[in-house]
Amino acid sequence: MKKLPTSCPSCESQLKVKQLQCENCSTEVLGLYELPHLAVLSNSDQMFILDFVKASGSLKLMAQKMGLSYPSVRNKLDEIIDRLKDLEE
Amino acid sequence: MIISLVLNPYNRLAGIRAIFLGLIIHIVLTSISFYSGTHINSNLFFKLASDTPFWYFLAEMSLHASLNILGLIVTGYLLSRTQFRLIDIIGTALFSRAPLVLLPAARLIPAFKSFYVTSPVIYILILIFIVSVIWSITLLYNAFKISCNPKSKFTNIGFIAAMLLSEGISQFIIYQILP
Repeated sequence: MKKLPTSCPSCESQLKVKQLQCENCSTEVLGLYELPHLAVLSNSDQMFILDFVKASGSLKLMAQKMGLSYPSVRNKLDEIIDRLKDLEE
Repeated sequence: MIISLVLNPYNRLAGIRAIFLGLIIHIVLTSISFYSGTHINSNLFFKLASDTPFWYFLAEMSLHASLNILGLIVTGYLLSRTQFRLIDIIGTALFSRAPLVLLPAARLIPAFKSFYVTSPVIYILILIFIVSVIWSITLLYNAFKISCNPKSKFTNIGFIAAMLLSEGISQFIIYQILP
């Protein structure tokens, strides 16, 4: 699966969405849109959030699934929360 | 990988499992200390004396461990922005005492059991004690970092202050209040 680039390969600034296209009728929309915060996170962070939602938000289940201790998983979640807060600012 | 497991097993070990293992370690440490006559009631020094009842060993070691843990809990509440579980800090901190078994275990060897004060054996025992304390404090620091996730710039100072304060209070109680 191709990874959505989120930062400029030249200056490393955050990229924005300029063009969207309908696969069905080829309608194109041009504009300048911010990427959603979740899309800017790393692949591993996005996977963590997906797994966390699938586990009904249970850190205990996440810890069992990842083979890590409860506080390690909670610390990982804290890191992602900090990153999302930084993005919001 | 092995170094990471030896110095920081808490990425995989915490909670009830750590408390259970920590309590076993505490009982084993107290028992071996009693049989070998080695008092490990401080992170700064040890004492050799075999004419002490078992309850005294249990009391001084439990007191020292409890005050260390209490110091970390208070520091965690002061420096951490996240909600941490008490069972994690208690379990991981108790487990961190495992390396302290090294010295009393070494003293079970007859050559280390009774010796002249001028004998080089005392230097070997001091070396074992220093290694075990450094290992134990490293484990304790990692237990604190993983369990409380402190993000403050005062994390290291807070940890050292908690250790020194709990050390001072435990030594005062052991030598001034315990009979």
